[in-house]
Amino acid sequence: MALTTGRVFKECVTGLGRPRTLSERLWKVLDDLSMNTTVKLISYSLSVVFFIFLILLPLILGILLKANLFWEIFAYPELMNRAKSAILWSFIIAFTVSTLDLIAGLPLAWFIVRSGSRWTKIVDSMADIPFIIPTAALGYSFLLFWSREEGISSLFGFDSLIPPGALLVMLLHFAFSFPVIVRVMVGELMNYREVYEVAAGTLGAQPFTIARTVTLPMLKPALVASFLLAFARSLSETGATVMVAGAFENGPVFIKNAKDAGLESPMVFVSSILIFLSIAIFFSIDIMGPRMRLPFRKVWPNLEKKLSSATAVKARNSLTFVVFLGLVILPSLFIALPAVQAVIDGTLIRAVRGVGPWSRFWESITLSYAIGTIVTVVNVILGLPVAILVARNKLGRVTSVLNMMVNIPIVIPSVALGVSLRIFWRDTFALPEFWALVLAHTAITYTYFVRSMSAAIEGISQEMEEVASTLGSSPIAIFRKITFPLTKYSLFSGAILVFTRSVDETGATIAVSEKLRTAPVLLVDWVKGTIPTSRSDIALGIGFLVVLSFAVLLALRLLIEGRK
Amino acid sequence: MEEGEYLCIIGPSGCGKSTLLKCIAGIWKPDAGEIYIDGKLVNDTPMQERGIGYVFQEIALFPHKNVYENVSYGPTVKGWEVKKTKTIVEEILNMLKLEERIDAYPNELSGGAKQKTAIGRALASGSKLLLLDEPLGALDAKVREVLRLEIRNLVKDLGLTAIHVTHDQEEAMAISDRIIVMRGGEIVENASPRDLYLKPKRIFTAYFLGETNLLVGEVTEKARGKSIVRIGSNDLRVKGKVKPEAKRVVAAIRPEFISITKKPKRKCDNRWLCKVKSLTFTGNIIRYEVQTVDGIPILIKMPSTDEEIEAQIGDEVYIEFSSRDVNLYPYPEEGLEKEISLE
Amino acid sequence: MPSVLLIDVTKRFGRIVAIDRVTLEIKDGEYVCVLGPTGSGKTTLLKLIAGLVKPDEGEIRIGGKTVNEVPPQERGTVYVPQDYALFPHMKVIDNVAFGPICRGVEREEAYKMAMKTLKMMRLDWRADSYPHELSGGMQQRVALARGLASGAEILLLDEPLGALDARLRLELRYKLRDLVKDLGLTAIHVTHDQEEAMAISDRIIVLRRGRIQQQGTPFNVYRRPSNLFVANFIGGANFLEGIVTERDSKGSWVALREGIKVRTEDPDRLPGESVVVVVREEKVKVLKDEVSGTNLLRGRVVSSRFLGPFIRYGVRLTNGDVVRSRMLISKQRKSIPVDEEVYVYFEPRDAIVYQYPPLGLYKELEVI
Repeated sequence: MALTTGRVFKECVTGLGRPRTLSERLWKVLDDLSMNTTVKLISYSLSVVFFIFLILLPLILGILLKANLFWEIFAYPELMNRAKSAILWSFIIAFTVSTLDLIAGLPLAWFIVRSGSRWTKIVDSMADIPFIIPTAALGYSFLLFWSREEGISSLFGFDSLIPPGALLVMLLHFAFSFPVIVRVMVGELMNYREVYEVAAGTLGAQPFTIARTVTLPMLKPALVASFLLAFARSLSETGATVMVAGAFENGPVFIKNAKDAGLESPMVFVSSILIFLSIAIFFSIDIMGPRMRLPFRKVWPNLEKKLSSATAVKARNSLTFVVFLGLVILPSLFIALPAVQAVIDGTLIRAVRGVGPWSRFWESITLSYAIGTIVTVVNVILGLPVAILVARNKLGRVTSVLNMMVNIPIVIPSVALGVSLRIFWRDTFALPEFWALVLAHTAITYTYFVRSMSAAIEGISQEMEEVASTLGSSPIAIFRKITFPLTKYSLFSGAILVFTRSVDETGATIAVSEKLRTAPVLLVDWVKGTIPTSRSDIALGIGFLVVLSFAVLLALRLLIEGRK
Repeated sequence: MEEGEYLCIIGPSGCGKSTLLKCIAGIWKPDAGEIYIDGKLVNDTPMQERGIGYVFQEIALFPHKNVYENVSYGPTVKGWEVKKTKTIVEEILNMLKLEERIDAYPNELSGGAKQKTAIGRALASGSKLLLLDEPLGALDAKVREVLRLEIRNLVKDLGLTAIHVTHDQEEAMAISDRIIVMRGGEIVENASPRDLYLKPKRIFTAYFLGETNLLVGEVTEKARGKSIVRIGSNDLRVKGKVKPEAKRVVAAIRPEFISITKKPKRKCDNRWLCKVKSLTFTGNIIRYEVQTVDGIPILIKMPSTDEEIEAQIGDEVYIEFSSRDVNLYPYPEEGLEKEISLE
Repeated sequence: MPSVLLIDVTKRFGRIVAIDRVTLEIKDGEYVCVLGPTGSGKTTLLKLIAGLVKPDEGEIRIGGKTVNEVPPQERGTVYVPQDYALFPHMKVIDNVAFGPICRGVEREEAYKMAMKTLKMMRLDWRADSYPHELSGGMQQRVALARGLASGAEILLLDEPLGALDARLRLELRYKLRDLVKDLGLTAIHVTHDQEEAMAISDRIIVLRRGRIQQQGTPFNVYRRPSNLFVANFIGGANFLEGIVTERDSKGSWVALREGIKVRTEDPDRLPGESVVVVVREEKVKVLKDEVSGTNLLRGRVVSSRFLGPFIRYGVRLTNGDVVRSRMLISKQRKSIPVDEEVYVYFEPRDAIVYQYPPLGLYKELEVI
């Protein structure tokens, strides 16, 4: 038989294996380079060095550099009291809101994954709305909806049903943290192997009992993770909170007010407390969470059978939807009304001409997008190797340390992070404002990319890569031909996430910037009245931001699908 | 299916055997037809109330519960008294010889112990009907062999009824009272292991249940209780009935009923000259592949003996087999390939 | 020549020793089966040879060259994992052509080679399918084709038949062997199925807890198992505990429990020694009538199962020990029913004698 045995094969290789085109030659060079252990080592080390020295250390060191300012505030008891209550409120709100989100979000996630209803797809995409709309837009929408006369207040005969303050902040935080819980839990429930539920069912357990004793305990890590994400998001948010806070202050609002008033010491004080406290809380929940047991180990068969009945499920779903639509979706989308009005009443023409406040607006939009683009590119290039290191456990025990450290930028309230980075890059290294903003945004979005990428890589079998390597594929070719095609959707969605996070960001931006204004920060100024604008101006500005974000998302998606 | 019976459903993958089991358990609903358990129509009874124990191929022990909590899950969710639960669970764990692993979590158990725990869990809530979906599929061959005996003994000792799905014909024969052979969603045959193996009614059964030689030939002579089939240039004598109308037939002979000899001694009604093509030692059996003078391949399994293996590759030998060990079938209308295809 | 040599190779994962001082040689063109229970280190052994894990100690040579530092790309081995790991986003033909392309063969030529290999596996008609559209048996053939087309001369097969139905497994194992032999390749095939290993390999290596228990031809491993574990793991056997009472030039007598005496041809054990007498199930005959012979023991049938080619009996001896027997169906047409009084019989030369293991028989036989 004339077959492709190894011997015949070798002749083929020596005779024909010459790359011809330029790109082939280029890949050949890269292939050879990636086979070289030193090159591999250097590229991985570079990415880790970048993470440690440009992201992690600055945000810790920055605040320590001004440690001397920490104590000054003690001399002013009044400021001190305000600072203390602001910090306390930050944590109270974050904790309450995340707990409520978990209670309300879980039934919705369950409905999306398990009901088999034809509405699931619509509900699923609706749940993402508060996630896609920039938080600054949400803030203004909530303000209009709950506390201005054009909202629902007049329906109840009030001037302002819920005036700006702690309650409105809570409602806002509840809404924008909600999709985090739903997203994570929908994903987890989809991956969950139903065989366990079937097993419990054949043993006589009612659906409610199964969820309580089998499914949720097995999904505990995901429950803890989603709670922490919601917690961190609430702790971090600045721009929208400033809009709806009124006289109320939580941590980020206090820092913004202190910065506006030029009070450096209170700023450093609150920032450092927020940084270290949130890291401490985050890691202790991360460690303790999985050891917690759900309460009620006993089973009440009759009660739980009633709770599993069709009527009970219907009642539960209805309640979930009332909360979801009334507290999350309606207030979030309310901004559409004045935005549409603004298109009609001539504001659009002023905006396009760049009249009045609008000249600054277009500058800000450009700035936002420029920063977003640079940040995305930097994160993809330098985050990917770290994601691979984490997913493939390449560093042994060091991997888990790296894994934890990657979480830090997301854990720290972004405004506190901004204060620290400002001290580090601006005050100490006198970096230009633009580049300080780029670095701050890189730090804030870094975790998102590395996390989503490493999860995607973990999802594909390592054996596939191993086989490819015994088939003669170099590491870079394995990535190019196997890993990348199988994870490209995660890569693009990770990149999109980075981009939108960066464009939406307010906390760190407010802390770092002096003269430059990104679009959402400018909008915060408009709402707070520091720059005189009309309601139509604000609504239209927000409309532009949302529409442009959608346009970018859509363009990227078309691009991906075109390549497929 | 009767009470106290151990039934096996066997067939190639995708033949619908698991689906059948899931319909009985109530995990899936049948599109048409009725299912009765204990004389009661259960089509609309949810799985929680059918009173069956189900054992999964994936084992599916709750990973966050230890052996005791897993086994006691059924009684607990049914709200049985704590004391009663404890007695029953301990009894079952003793029976399965798992009493020492009571505190172990599933990831600390070996494959065999895991599946035993799962069986215990299925039994603890008092079900009398046990459904086993490839319960040994995820285990090592050797563990499988031991555990299948234990399962059968347990089911028989407790007087349970069991339906066991598998694709392994040896397992099916070892464990069951009756076997149902399925293919493509249909039942092909239904009989005791012995009847199914020795006197299968369909060619597919003969082919699927262990290896067999299928020889195509033409009936040349029909006498009382004996016929002669022409296969190549050899005559095959067959005892028993052939359908009178069939001219073209398929003869099935199990390889273990054929023996090889160089110097024929005893009287034998079928003796053909063949050439040895290959021989393989497989422990208690040696497998010979020989060819008749017409080049028809025949597989033979002989017990391995301590003496030097008599025949070597290339040797001319006689193969001998008895006319009563041959089963004759009319040539299938859709061809032999189609009849024995696994889909 | 692509022979494989491992010298004193050890691999640890944390505290677990996956491979423990393994030395073995695999010759060019040999078909070797590595046989062992789950967790015995079989897969690690394959990955060590493939270069996917690095040994902590010892040396690996392929074709006489030390390859400890050679990356998997350049070892001339191909690893076929248990679930095949076909690339799901590529068509069958792209999967097969992947190897040659990676090795720098020109595209057109690579696809020609891939097509040729697929033809050989009778899969050319599915070249444009995606892996998930194929049946388990076809996927396995694609995985093999992909390995062969890469030009590797050493195939590392991890349970290549494990994911298939029993019936298909039976057929494909001989096809697999024939293919490897026809192409003159070297194959290292990992399995936990002793029957499969015996049926297709030139040589069996029995692995347990990372250590080689025995290596040899199927015939030798089956007939002369080097220890009790191997005797139990390969083929069914009876294990009878007893004490040597007499020894003479031709063998010895062993007293089982309650003084039942059996004759063996073992010349080594001294009187007074605790031993285990091993008799293969198929060497034990169950008879209704008394015959003359040395090891003729009385008992009662406790189980009788029809298994197709043979009937398996369990017979409880008068001392309570249960002896299992496999009687060929061609030799005994009618099963003896349960509860019948019978005789069991085996030849002295079929009784292999081992020293009683220090940790107890149960521990020694454990399939872990």
